[in-house]
Order: sequence, then structure tokens, then C-alpha cells
Amino acid sequence: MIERLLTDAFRRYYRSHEVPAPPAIEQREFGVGAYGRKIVKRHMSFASEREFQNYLKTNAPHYISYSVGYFEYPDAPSMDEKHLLGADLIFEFDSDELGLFSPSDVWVCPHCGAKGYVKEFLDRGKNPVACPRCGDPVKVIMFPDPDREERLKNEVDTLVKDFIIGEWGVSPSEVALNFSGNRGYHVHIRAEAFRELDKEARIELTEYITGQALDVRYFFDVTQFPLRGPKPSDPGWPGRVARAVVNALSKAKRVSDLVVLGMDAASARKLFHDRAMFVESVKRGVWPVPTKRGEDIFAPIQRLVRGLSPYMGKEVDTNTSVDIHRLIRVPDTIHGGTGLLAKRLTDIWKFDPFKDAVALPSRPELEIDVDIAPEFEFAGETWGPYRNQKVLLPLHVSIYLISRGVARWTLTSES
Amino acid sequence: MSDFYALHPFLPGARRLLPQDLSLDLVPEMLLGSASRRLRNILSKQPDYSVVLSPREEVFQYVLMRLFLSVLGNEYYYDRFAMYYAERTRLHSNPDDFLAEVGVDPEYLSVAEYMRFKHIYPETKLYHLPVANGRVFFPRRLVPYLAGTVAYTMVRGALPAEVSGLPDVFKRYAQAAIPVTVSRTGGKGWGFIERILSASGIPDGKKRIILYWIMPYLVTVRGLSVDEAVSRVQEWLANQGGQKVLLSWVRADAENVKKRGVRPWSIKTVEQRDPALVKMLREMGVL
Repeated sequence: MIERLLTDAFRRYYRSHEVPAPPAIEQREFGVGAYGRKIVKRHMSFASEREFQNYLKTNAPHYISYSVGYFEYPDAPSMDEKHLLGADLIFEFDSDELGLFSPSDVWVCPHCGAKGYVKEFLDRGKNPVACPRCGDPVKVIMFPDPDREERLKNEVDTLVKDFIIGEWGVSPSEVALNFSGNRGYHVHIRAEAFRELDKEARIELTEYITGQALDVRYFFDVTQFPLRGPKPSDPGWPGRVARAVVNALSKAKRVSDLVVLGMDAASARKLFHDRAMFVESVKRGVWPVPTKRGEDIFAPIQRLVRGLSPYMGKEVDTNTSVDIHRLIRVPDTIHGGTGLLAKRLTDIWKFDPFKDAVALPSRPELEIDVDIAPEFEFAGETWGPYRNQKVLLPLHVSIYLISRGVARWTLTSES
Repeated sequence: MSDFYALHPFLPGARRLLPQDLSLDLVPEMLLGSASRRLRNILSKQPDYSVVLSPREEVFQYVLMRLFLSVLGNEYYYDRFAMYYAERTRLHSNPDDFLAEVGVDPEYLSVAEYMRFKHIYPETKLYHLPVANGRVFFPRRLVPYLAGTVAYTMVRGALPAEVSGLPDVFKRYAQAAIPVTVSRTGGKGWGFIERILSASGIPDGKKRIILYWIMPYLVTVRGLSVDEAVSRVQEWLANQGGQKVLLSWVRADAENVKKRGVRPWSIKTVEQRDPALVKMLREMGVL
């Protein structure tokens, strides 16, 4: 029943809004999904934007995705027969990847059914990992949180401005950004020069973004003493590492500030006392690194850089960037799991996903059983908190709560 | 110039040194034998990079070895072969002359152009280089590595060659080129792990497969570096289904295997400890 309700709401939306087709639509494979299943049919193609829009108006799929790849025969039944011509490079950011928990998030234990607010864990200085009742791993359900949204936007913004445009030199007109319709953002690089890159190159570009494979010894010239290394003004990762080290040392108020970043106490003590000299020296590209007898000269820097890596690299979903056969949500279509639009964005800072991306109407209202939900902002209004209660809510809020897995709708005579 | 081609027989211009009327049916067995022995040395753990024959012989042997490899159809051997020419270029070539010949300017490399090369050396990974405004600023001291990278990309990109209609005698000499390896486990076959590596669509148990087999095989048996093994595992993961596996976890596993010298488990051992995994892989036809 809810499926039909959603289909009708989606159809009304698509009949009143023209969804722009993805670029080179005739070379893209499409896949559609139904309620609760993101892909039920794939290997579809559309010859034109008009055909694509007519399909949405007629069929109102709960999910519609398109290939990041460009194919000669996009509707062929196998990848070999499709004949890949190239693929966009995609970066996907999810708030759950960042691992940031908000006190208003909800935890649920899939094993014993216990549930509660993440605040209960955070107040005890713990992350929500194990169920307090049975000890099994818990699942965290995230709710709108302005601080987390800002952090996520900041990550996406620096990825686009610093890495993609600033370092890789991609023209802003060849970078598209859209909300995923659920928990994150997608960055599409459509520059022709990047389309033909193979999997290995995509893996390396993803590693460039995350910085996880970085080995700082390659930034140094070991033939000179003291070590010659990167300056903060250098481009790319060498400069990023130098800036992060200078920044960490300049901000350090006590030795323990360096120890928490991973340095051993002896090196941290020496570096802390000589920090002013060290910072000035690094600015000239000279690294007088303190080492313990017999220790690898790079070890203290490597440890410091590892400690600083969360502040330098970006945590992106590697699988999305590497998989050239992936289907990804069509921008400006509705995400069937949330009722939110996978909206194209021009300015991420002016976008509020829980207000600007709400696609479903408020009517009809549904009476739903809510297990647990915090107070949250949605569609410009404040809802909740709810705990084990039946509530009459607008369609868009109801679908959002049902999709989060914290509410159920059972048809009653009144409904 | 022909001496230049002796060092780089894979360059398109080297083809000029081959006889115009070259017929593979008429290649003397003596030449097939010497090319086969050379390939065996190249694929061994300690290839001799200093061997440089006459330009004509070098180019002809390169053509024959490429055909032998294509008959064998083993991706690992393709990599070893390409790595041999990469290392020979890095160690013995004038990198400026070589890069000028192939049209690569180390002073002006765009990021997109640079990413078309296979970065086999950690020194040349994009994240280890200064990058700004779409340009890679290649340090002078690393130019020989860039030459090796380009050589690797060219040799690897030319494999496999078309081998249909190749005389049968080539198959015999191709088999003879396979190096004999002595395993610490007394010649245990790891062919099943190669099959797992080429499988796709494995929905569950990816982490366990990496732990039990793939990572120990790549790092301990094949001797790949942590970076190479992580890249290979990521490539494998991209072909599988189900939940994603975090890169940081893969890297930690690779480092652990490297540190401890962990060797892959046998199918029998895994079957005793994790029968469901072996059952699933058998049902998929992977084992």
C-alpha cells in the first residue's frame, strides 16, 4: 500500500517538474528500483531527454540510477557487449563514513532489539559500538544534525576547491556536485581527460584524496644533512604535510599535544622545546628532525603525519570512485528510501538537505508507529521527540522516519 | 640510433630493424630457444639487466618473447616482463633521450596525462609528487623513474599480442620459458588463489578471503610491496558485491602480513575453520 502511495506522489512530482537528463544520455545505462530495492531492472537506455522525462512521468520509479560509464551500446545485456567508451570520476561522501556521532542519533541492536539515543554512550565517553544489554554490535541511525552537516559540507568543499580544481586543474564547469538524496554528496568529474582513466589510475587518485598510502620519506632528499624536505609553500601533498606539521607545532601548548598525535615522548619533548626554531627551519625546507639512537630518521615525522592525517585527507568511498560500471542516482530525481531529492547544487553552503531537498508533499498524513525519534528539523518545522507512540504525521516526515527504520505504517480504516 | 633501440626494443621505431619479409613459420628453432631462455631469465627472481644484444637481436627477441608470453596468458608474467624493461630503462638508459623519443616532457606533465602511466614505483605515485594547477612538477632526481614508468606502460600495454595462427612450436618454447620456482611449502600450488583473484561478484566473506588467502599470497608468496598489494586488493574488491571494505583495514592487514611474513592457509585448513566460506566459493565455482 505504501508503495502505491509513494508511486502516486512521485508521479505527481515528475509530472510537475522536468528533470534534466544526465550529459550524453544516449551513452548511459540506466537502472530503476522499486520500494525497498534500489535496482530491480538495469541495462535500460534512453535516446533523448524527452524519452527519459516521459519514462519518469509514466512509471515514476522509486529509484533511478545511471551509469558513470559511457557505452557504445548501453542497453546490451552484459558489460563486454556494452563496449565502454569512458567513465566519469565520482567521489562519494557519506556522513557515516566520517564516523561523526551526534547525541540525537539513535542506536538499535539488531540482535536483542534494544534501542536508545547515542547521547547515552557519548555521556559516558564512549562511541556506540556494543549493545549495553547483550554486547552485540549496534547499528547507528543518523538524524539531521547541523554541526555534522557543516563538517560534511566543509569536507566536500575543500575536496572540490583544493584537490580537484586547485591541484588537478579540473575546470569548475567540468565538476558537478549533487546531494545524494540520503546521507551525503556526490562529486562528478566529467572532464574528458579523466574519462579514459583505468581502474588503477582511479585507485591512485582516490588514494591521493585520502592520503592513506602516503609515505613521507619520498618527500625528502636523504643525501643532505640536516634533511631537506618540503616547504609549506610547496604544492600538493608535500606542501600539505609541511603546513600541517608547522600548524600542529605552532598550536602545541604542551608536550602532550604532540604525544597525542603519535610522537614518542622523547622526540615530542625535544621538538616541543625547539619548536620555534623547527618551524622557521621547515619554512625554509630544512627539517632538523630529532631521532632516538638507532631509529629510522623518518619515524617521528611519519608518526606525526599519521596523527595529522584525519585533518589532511578526505574519507571518500573508494568503491564508488574505482568502479567504472557503477550506477549512481540521477541528479534531481527522488531517492525512494528517504523521499528527498538527489539535488544538483551550485552552492553547497546555501543548501539545507532537510528543507531544500524535500520532494514529497505533506498530504496525505499518515498515522505511523514510531519506536524512537529525537527532536529534529525537517521541511522547515520541528518534529519529535517520539518514543513508542502512534502519531499522525505529514507524508514527507512519515516516509523519512519509516526509511530510517524507526517507524512502521500499518493501514487502518482511518488511513 | 639503433643502439638506442637495443635498449628499448619495445618502441614503435624499433620495428624498422626487423626483416621486411619476416615469417614466423621460418624462425629457426635456435632463435626460439635463445628467446625462450632469455624470457626465463627475465621472469626469474633475479633477471640480468645488463644483457644487451645487438639492436637487431634485441628487437627480434623482444617480438618472440612477447609472443611466448601471449601464449602463456599469465598476467603476473606480463607484469614481470614489463617490469624488466622498466628497470632496464631506469638503470641503463639516458632518461631525457628516451622521454624525448616517446614525446613525454618531464617539465610539463598534466595530471590527466600523467595518470595514464602505470605508476609502478612508489616514488612516482601522484601523492608523492608536487601537484598544482593541473600540473605535476617532476623532481629532476626522479626523471629516471619516470622513464621506467613510461617503459612499463608501453610494454604492458602491448600485452597480450594476437597469437591465433601461431606455429605450434612457439607453444613448446613458451612453456619452456616458465621459471622453476621452489616454494618453501614444497611446491604447494596457489593456483586457486589466482582463481579467487580473477573471480568477481563474491557477495560475502571478502574480508576473510583477504585475511586467509589474498593478502598473504600477494605479500609473502609473490613478494609485492604493501602499496602494490593494497592496490591489487582494491582492484579485486571493486569487482565484488556486498558491503564495502575500508581501505585502512586493507592497508593494516597488508602491513601486518609483511611484518609477520604470514603465508596463505590451505583450502583444507580454511575448510576446517570456516566451512561456510569454502562451501560458498565451491558453489560459485571459484574453488
